[in-house]
Amino acid sequence: MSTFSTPQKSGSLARIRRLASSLANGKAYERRPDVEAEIQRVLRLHQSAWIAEAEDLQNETLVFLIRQIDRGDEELFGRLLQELSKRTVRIASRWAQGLDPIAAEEIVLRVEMQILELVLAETASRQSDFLEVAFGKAVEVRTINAVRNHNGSAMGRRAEIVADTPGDDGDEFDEMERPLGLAVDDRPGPEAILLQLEDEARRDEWIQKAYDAVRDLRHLEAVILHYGCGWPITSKDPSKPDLARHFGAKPRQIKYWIATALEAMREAIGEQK
Amino acid sequence: MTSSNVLFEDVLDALKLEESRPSYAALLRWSERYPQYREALAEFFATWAIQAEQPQQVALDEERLADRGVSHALKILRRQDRVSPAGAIEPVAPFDQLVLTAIYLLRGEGYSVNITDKVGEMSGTSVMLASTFASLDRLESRGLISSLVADETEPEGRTRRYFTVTLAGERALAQAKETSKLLADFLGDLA
Repeated sequence: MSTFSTPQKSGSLARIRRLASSLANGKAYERRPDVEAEIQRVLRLHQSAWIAEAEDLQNETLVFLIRQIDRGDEELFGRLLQELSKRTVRIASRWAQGLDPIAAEEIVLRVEMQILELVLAETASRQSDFLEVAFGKAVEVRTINAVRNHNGSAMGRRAEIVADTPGDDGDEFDEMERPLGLAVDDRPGPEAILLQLEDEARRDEWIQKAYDAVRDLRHLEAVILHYGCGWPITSKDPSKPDLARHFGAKPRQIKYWIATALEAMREAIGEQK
Repeated sequence: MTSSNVLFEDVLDALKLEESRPSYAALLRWSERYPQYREALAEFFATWAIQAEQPQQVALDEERLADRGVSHALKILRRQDRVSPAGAIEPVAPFDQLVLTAIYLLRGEGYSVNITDKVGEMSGTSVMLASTFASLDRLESRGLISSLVADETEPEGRTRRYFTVTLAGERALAQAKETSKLLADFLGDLA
């Protein structure tokens, strides 16, 4: 028998591959401490335990393990990839709402493939390393960006053209009884309406009502961007984005859209109360 | 990442780490940092704001989409020659079986010294550390075990490596166990 003694259970740490990429300020990408701790624990398990635990592992740990295996069993790769793909689809689906189901599925599938190709890339990149830092955010940005591209495409624009209706140019805006910002009645104003949309318990119900009530989605988008995010309707500084440039519409038209959308939302939400 | 040749996707990843909401103030900040992406950033922020408010209506077939992704990923892995061929596992030599068993029983805490101890304990014989090292190399090159380097050194000054059993290693152990059982059954009378 060997003369060396067997030590007690080791508390030593494995040397885990460091992420090579860095942030804008030069700080190296780092995994979260809880992810590092989970990786340390899982690396000490036999591979059959990786499969058994896959469902409970954090996204970033799954990415690390898949990237870590130089050569492995198809069953092992398959199970880890299946779990990661399911989560990717789930996150991407959340951000691909509001499109027709075929477009939504196409976008989700494209994002899933992009993510998997980054995970399996033979050369590490800033994007592939980012998956071990904030996997959910990586999926989110790719989905939002894919939706942005879709909306800018011929297919995406078609939906807007169909929704474009005559009398939508705000010419009658001057004749409206309650132009936006001058409303003097006691009904909820834009902030109140948006606050109601923040009501977590009934949020989905309010949002659904608002979407159902507004005739043209661009009208609702203008409300969200203007009141929810603070976009100005128009800006004198051409380097600053504004709603008129974003929608390619006249400021008067945007004001009309917002007023119309708020009116519809007021009525819809009012009916619910 | 302030250089002008940074990829738009890298900018998006970085901004998502810093910003929790698609506010106009955040948009102006990022447009100033990356003026070459001013228009794309404005579109991205607008899409982000709008998608965040979308009611959850479309439910996609998660399993089917995940299966398509996995199939695509496995094709990439095969092209990269990272998937071990499925099929029968070549028999493992008796000493290597003992080393594999020791690693399995030590549950991730096995390194050369205590694996040697464990093999000695199981076989009731004196085991040379060099024999264990040779066996570990054989088992690892066959993909039956994997190792990770720890921030510790062995008594001889080597970097300590901890070993775990791969799926193929577990199959090899199961196969060895089955063979041993058969032998024991058929050769029950043999002294």
